[in-house]
Amino acid sequence: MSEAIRHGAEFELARRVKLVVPTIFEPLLFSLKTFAAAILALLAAWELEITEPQWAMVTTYLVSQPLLGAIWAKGAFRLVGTLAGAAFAVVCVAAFAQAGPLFILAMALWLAFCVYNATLLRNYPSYGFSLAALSAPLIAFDSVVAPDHVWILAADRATAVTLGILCAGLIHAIVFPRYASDALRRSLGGTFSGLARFAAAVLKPGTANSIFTRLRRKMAGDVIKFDALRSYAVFESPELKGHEAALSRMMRAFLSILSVGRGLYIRLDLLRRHEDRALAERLDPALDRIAVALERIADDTDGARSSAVGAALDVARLEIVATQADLEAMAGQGIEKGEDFETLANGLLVLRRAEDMIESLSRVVAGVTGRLPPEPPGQRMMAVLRPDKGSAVAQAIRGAACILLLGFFWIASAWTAGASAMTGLAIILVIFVIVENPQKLATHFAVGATLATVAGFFCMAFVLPMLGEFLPLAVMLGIFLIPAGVLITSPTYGAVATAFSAFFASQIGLSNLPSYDIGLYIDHSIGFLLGIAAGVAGIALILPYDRARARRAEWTEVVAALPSAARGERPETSARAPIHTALLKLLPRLDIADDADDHILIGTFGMASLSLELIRLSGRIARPAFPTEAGKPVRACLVMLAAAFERLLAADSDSETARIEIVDEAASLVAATRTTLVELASTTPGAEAVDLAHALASLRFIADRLTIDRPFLTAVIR
Amino acid sequence: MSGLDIASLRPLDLFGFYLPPLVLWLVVSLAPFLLLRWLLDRVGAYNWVWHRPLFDVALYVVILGGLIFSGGTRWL
Repeated sequence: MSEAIRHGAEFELARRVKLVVPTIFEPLLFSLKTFAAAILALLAAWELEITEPQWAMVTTYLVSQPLLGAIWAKGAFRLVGTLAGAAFAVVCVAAFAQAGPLFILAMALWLAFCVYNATLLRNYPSYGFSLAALSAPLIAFDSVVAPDHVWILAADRATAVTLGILCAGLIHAIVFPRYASDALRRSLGGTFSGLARFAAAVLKPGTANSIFTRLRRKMAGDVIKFDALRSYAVFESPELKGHEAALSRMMRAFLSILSVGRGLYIRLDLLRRHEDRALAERLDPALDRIAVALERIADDTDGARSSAVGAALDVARLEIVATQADLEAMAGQGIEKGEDFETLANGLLVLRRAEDMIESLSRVVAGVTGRLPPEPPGQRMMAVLRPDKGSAVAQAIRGAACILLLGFFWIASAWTAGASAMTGLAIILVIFVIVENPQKLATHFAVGATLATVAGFFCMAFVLPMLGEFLPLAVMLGIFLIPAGVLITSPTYGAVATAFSAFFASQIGLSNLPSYDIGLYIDHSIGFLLGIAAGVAGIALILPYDRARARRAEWTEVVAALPSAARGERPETSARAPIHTALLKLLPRLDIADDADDHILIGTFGMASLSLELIRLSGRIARPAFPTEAGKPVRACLVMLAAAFERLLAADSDSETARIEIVDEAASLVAATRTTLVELASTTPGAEAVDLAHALASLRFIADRLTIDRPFLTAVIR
Repeated sequence: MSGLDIASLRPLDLFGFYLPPLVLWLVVSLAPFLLLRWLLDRVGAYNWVWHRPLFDVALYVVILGGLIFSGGTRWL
């Protein structure tokens, strides 16, 4: 026990050290680079005598991101998007400047079109559409009051936005560039050793439940981060393109370790504490040796590439083979009592699951060293992930509706700051277009913009009139923008900090002809903030994001994969594929700090393991060597389980009791089949008894899932 | 150095809209830049480059400068 606590403390310390170093250095570097890009953009905009140079600065803050792999490719899409937006704004103002409603309608349709495509597409083209959606309102709404100057305004604004993008790209690419591929490599190494440590903790006797749960949650978070990084690193870094399939398979291996780990930990814990201490004592020395080998893997600084890791995995594999042979010899010596037979089945189950974890780690090693065998034909993970048209249409409708509503209010009320309000609204609608749940972030964004407006007011009214030179101005900007830039990379304060930086730069009045008109400032700022608030309200009220819908869809997809598994209709190699696919779709939206989401995650892992076990069992009983009299009840049980899973899908989704009845019935069915097998074992000769023990082990595992993961199977997701 | 031809500094007239000449030079120099970058990548020259983005920016600036000082876009 003390060993486990010490181990947990060491892990915690290592985690903190690892977290603290990048949290200080990387965000500061990012902030300094973005600030440098913003100042460069401001200087260039002044030099080119652009009327509103602050937009160049605002753009650098809106487009800067910590990881910018293929910056030029992304930059090209951004530039094309900006120019397309500017061109549309010019055409729109030229054609409809005198006809307000038509102008608003045209802008709403443009925003809907761009937002739809930005949601539907991913990566570069998505950035392009986002920038097109952003540039058009930035140019059009301000020029509609002076349509004669639309070309000058459009050219100025487009140049400012382009300068912002170019400067951000240039500085982030040249000064200590941070490539997504490097971050992915680090994340892969960290996740691999973390999972090896997790596997060791699963097997080691005495790992406390609280330590295990914390480790499991942390690893699930790391795997989610790895998945996010993988999904865009492949697009950002062309050199990773060829590794897409290998990375996808490593991701599945990670998910497998997590899903096997939890079931195995619970099984071992039950054995050690209540069910079969004698068996636990027999297995523990071997499991301990395997855990030591896994810890060696976790401590290896070279990660999956190291030859020592391969050797340690071989040691673990040999240990499992030897222990399994030892257990199977029990069957060979003839088992008299049913209890011994259950012991044998339990032991085999533990060893097989430990072997699954070792094999998953081996798959990652093979993927990293490039020795991954070709994937057997079957369902592919990447091919199945389709873009979500429903959500794209919802975003487009929401965007158009917000612009139309606020636009008509602007026309009807002849609001003097209407143009500023429309700009604020458009920014909110575009910035959060690819975010799954924009409500919270948009609110944070509004808070940031409000803080920036207040800070901007004080600087404009009291500080700026005293500053004559550029250097003191840059120092003043740095005092506000560098600390805000540090926070941009933080998941919690990112939206507030981005909004603060961008709007502080925009509000402070850095134009070539500064005007310190406080009345105008207040009028425009209030308009702008009300536009942002309208955007937040629109996101909350018009086709709001339904958190439960995506989760219910995932549950249905997961449970729908079970009947075919029970009938053995999938090969063992793709046993978990449909469940992992469903999980990968939901993964970016899951918040594992939230208990409800964590339950969905562990329930899905349980179902993935269940699916594998069902397929293994149906494969085992289909073998000619399997005793016929035992095959019949197991087959009947599997057919009835498949029917039960189908009934579960068809059952009223709001009634927990209906589902509980079905799962309880399935559990008692499995229990009855287990009893039948134990009875048969006493009359079965040696070699066939080993087969029976394996089948019993599978049934034991299925029974575990039906009881331990019952909350997931019967849950009503609201 | 041949010097800068003052005639090449006249704003460009694009369907009645005036654009700075630098825009055209920036666009025109993209073509040789992309071609050269592709060629260097093909022959593996980037393996000897310490900082690829810095090298790329320098290459682009050299091409752009070369184009401007070799007589602007008169020869187009």
